[in-house]
Amino acid sequence: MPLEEAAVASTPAPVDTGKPTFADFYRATFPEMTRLAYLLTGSAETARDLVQDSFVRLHDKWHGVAEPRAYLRRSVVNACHAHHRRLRLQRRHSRPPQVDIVDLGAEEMTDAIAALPYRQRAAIVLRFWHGSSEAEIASALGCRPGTVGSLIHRALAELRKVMP
Amino acid sequence: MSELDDRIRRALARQAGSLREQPDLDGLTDRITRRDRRRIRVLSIALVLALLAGPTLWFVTGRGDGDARTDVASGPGGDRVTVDDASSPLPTMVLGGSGSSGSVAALGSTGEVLSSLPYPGYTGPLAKAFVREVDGTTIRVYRAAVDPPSSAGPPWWEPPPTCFPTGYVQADVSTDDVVGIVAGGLYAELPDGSVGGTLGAIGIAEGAPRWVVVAQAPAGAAVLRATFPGGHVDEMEPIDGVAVLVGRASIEPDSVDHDASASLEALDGDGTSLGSGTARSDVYGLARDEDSHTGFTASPQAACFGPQELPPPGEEQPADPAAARAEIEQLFGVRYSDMTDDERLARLDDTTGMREVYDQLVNSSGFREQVLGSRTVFHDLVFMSATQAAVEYETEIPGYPQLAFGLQFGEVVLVDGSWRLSRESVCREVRLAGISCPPVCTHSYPQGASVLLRALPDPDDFNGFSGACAGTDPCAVTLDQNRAVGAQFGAPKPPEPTPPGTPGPTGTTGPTGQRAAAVAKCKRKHGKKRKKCLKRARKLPV
Repeated sequence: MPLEEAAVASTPAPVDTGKPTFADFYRATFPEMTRLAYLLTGSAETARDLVQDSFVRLHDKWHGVAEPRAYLRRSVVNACHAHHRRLRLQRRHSRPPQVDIVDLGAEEMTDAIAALPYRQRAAIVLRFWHGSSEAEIASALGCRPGTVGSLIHRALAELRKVMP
Repeated sequence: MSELDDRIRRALARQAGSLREQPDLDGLTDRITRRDRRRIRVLSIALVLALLAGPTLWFVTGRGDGDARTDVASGPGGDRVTVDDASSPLPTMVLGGSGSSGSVAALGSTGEVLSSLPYPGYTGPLAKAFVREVDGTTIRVYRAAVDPPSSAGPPWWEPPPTCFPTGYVQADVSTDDVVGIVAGGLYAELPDGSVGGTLGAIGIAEGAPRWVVVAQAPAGAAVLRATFPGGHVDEMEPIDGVAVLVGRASIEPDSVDHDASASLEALDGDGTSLGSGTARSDVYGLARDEDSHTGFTASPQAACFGPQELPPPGEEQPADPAAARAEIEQLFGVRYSDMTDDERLARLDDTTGMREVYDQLVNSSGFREQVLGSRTVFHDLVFMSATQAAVEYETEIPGYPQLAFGLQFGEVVLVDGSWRLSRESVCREVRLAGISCPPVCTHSYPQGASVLLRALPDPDDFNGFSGACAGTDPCAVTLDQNRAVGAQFGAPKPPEPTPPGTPGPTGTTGPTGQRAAAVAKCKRKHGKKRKKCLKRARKLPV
């Protein structure tokens, strides 16, 4: 069943609140969310996969979510965090490493950002690429606004080291 | 914009711009369809299992005293009420009680709820989290199935997330020789670079001591490592952010070191340290130790002591705010004036157990002079709704400048057209004098659930149930609506608990409870004494 029909068939008719249809929202936000996930994971393939999964989760709650963009952003950031955790656990258990193809940045700053701990990296990406406010970053990372300041501060201290 | 900011922006924009992913609606539709099919399959299996297995009990509790250093097997007995049969949420049952033992540490059989609940103990339902076997020790770990009650401050105050636990973990630890319980709190947020933990010891009296740490790992930790006093090390991969670590100990029963601590370290998958900390037995708020940068201290943080300002006003306000304000100012001004206990109780929204509290506060020689001489300096108030207000005030005690408490906050509520002090805020205040209000414990069960309450007193120390139960025999309560039950141990009058959401009674004992309790007490006597006693008891009104 095409998505438009699936969405209509599986959810009650929405009250017209000016909210776009799920399919329109998907088309409009997919590129931005995939790029966000790409910046957080460093892999285009993983980013695409995680973002599709996040949209599946959003589809479930579509009519109950007042701010779908914020919900999705948090969902994507969480999914990327979970992905990092899985990778670390796999490495620790010495299983054959999952091949996670990472596109190299060929740029010192890109590599330095990629090397940051996950939460610092997410805070930097959301702040400098996505233009999110501290409150939005706190909401996406599930922490307090004060913690965001500290994450960014420590990340900037680390990134300053690669400045000429 | 700094050059660094600019470089970061350009690097991110360049990297993001290199991605050329297009939306794939068909792919997404496939995923949604596959997910739906999977759900239907899982649901079918669950349904079959439920039909085969029948209803199950999920309420599994057994607890220590909330402190880490709990030696369960040898601990004192104590007053408690057991809940033999209970299942998952809905209507609320209130267990109101008062007991002489504030710290009970007897091994709990399944389904046990303490009547006396010392903070930060948790008596709500627990859900089994995981089991760990290590060195001949079995650790069964349970987590709070509902958020533990917070007695951190006014209900409208949101303390920093590192101040008070928002979760509860209980580790039931058994070895060949002993069984013990060590519990710890879980925090909404750990200070950056730290590990949270509580240290306990079991089996001291039996001569088979073990250290136990209940620890909270920072996000991303793959291993938690504890180094116990004496140097023994244990490691565990945290499960849902929690690890329970055990170590050999050498503790003589008469030489317990209550300042003992274990050092903790969290490592990521590459063995890099993510943070460190110290597990102690008296954790109260997690604060980073800024001097040493090596984890958190267990000392209270200034920000944890209470709010610094009133909450914002609510959307709904009283019809006549000025009149309401005048009434509240007057109520606050006279709350510790010389008046009868009944007059005091009439100014409260809920009187459960408060007669005894005022007895200790006002009628005891220790506090009477200070309490009656105290003066309230009313600062300001905010209406949080048309029926609830928060008040900012100070208390001056002439002649006792050392007892200045600084800014204080209390709540008042509108009950039956008149403003009353909230029991909760009065209890917070009297705690400053070291007086504790009797606990009121609430638990939620499914609509229609039947719960069997049984008192397990110290010998001959139970005076009876009150509220929805009477007498001393085990009592079955059907939760077709909110129910309140009180249990009185070791004191003459059973308390009258107040169902949630309703104004409290006067705080005196209900006649049914009095008679039932008196009859029950008589049954423990023998011969003529018993007959005389019963005759007197039966004259009490039903």
